[in-house]
Amino acid sequence: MKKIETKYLILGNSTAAISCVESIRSLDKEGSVSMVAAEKERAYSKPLISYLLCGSITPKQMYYRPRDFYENNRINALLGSEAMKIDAAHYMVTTATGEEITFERLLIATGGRPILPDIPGIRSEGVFTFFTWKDAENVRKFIQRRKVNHAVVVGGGLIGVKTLEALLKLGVKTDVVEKAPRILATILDDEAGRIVDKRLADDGVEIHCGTTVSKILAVDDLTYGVRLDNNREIECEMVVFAIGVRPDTRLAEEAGIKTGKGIIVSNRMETSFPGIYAAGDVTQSYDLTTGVARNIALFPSAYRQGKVAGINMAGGNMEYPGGIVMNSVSVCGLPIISVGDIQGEGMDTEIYSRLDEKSSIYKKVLVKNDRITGVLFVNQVDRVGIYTGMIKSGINVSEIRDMLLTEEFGVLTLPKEYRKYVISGVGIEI
Amino acid sequence: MGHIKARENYCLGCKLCEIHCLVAHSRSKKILKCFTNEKDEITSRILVEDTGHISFAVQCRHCTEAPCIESCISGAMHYEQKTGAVLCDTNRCVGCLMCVMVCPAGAVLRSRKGTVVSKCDLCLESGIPACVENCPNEALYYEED
Repeated sequence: MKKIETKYLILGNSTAAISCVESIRSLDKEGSVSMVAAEKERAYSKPLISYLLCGSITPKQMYYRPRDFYENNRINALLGSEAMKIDAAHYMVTTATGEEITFERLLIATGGRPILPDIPGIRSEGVFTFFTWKDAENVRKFIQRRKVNHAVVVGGGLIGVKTLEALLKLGVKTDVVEKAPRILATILDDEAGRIVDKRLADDGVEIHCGTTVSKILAVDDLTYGVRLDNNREIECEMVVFAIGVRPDTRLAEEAGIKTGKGIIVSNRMETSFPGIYAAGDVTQSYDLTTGVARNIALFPSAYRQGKVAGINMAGGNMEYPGGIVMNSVSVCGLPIISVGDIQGEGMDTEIYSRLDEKSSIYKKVLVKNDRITGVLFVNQVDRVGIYTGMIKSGINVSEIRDMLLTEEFGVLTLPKEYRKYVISGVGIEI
Repeated sequence: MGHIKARENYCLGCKLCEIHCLVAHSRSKKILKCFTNEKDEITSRILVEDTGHISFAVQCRHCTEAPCIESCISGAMHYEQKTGAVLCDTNRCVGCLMCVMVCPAGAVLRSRKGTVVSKCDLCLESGIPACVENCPNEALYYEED
């Protein structure tokens, strides 16, 4: 057993972990920082793996921070060494490679793990998840080796759609199987769904909704197709599961740290155990637009949470009020941005929308109690951030509701006080 | 680092700032060449808003807690080390549009091809922002912090 003492210990090496370290260093240049992560790679950006798969970026571009990041920030990085146990009472973490690390402050940023269903044939060759750099590498190699012509993506959420995009670019005919009545069910409404379906059909993608894969068809452990729960069979050489990601809370749970839909944290990102913090996809956080506690596994939230955790761990004071669900995704070249709660169409919700079917342009803004609660833009997403900003800041739009979807809408339309804030820049005091 | 500021009462809505921004970020830096050969490749990084009775030019505010940097999945959006200006390394940008989704001023724009984003770089290389230099009414001015 190798014993290590550190002031700050970070479990994880992705978005939340990196922003946490940067925040710690902004306040504490000297305190020792150690980092433990299962993956050997230095920090890379997970959302980029689909870009890597289809060759639109090089492996070099995967890295989220420069090579000398660890050295410059004086981080003792134990990469490829998974944390096995948190002993909260003794402020100690044990690793798979035999280190015993005692800490003063701990960040759990272990992210999530993709879900694989327990169905017959799931261990067959040709079945993948799509979550890490290694997954992308495995998929790429398999496509080359097996000369894959036809693939099935199970799950039409964000990861599924990004996988689909990459496979199409590689010339692989791809079907999508989605349990919900349409793909991207949480971020699209019916109208946007129709536009997306049409675009996918034009590109030769078959979508099988309202069903799921019940069996992987394989001979000698080699995949040749899938059977759906409606008994239909699809021939394919490869199956990619993208049915969801579960927060990786095992370590926290075993240590007696409170969990719900992820590790439960205060608005200072501290867990139920003082001195132990959590950030990113592993946490449960407050959804600002719906008021519900949930797991918000999004890149910007992970960054913000990591930052807030880091500042507080280093003795500063910063709060995370909660997050807004938001996504920017492109489906066969059709850009889509969906922010906030675009489903909540109750009696008290006003809906402003505009559809231009010919050019596949769709814009919708939802307003509740004079505040914007959601926006959904398809194929013309320029300047959407102005709405996002208003959602975040809870701006009263009663005076400007008629302007919300006009051509002139912009910074000039915003209520005067808020406009001043926007023009001065976020974080800049005037 | 300084900031480009605007006086909305002075803005004529002439859009010369947009034109000079385009030229300043073109390969040729020549107005005619730029409009005959490059106009499909470049986007103005400043945008004149016009409501009919007032107009106003908007470009990146170079936030100190920039939402675009926090949301950038590729590491392309970054603070320039010396000045703290918010810049986009277009070689790294993958065009995911997360920055477009979060910029409260709507100041990060898509490039013409839609593959990378385009935003104000304060004309750091040449010194004085082209929009400020060419604003006929001094509606745009540059102020050191």
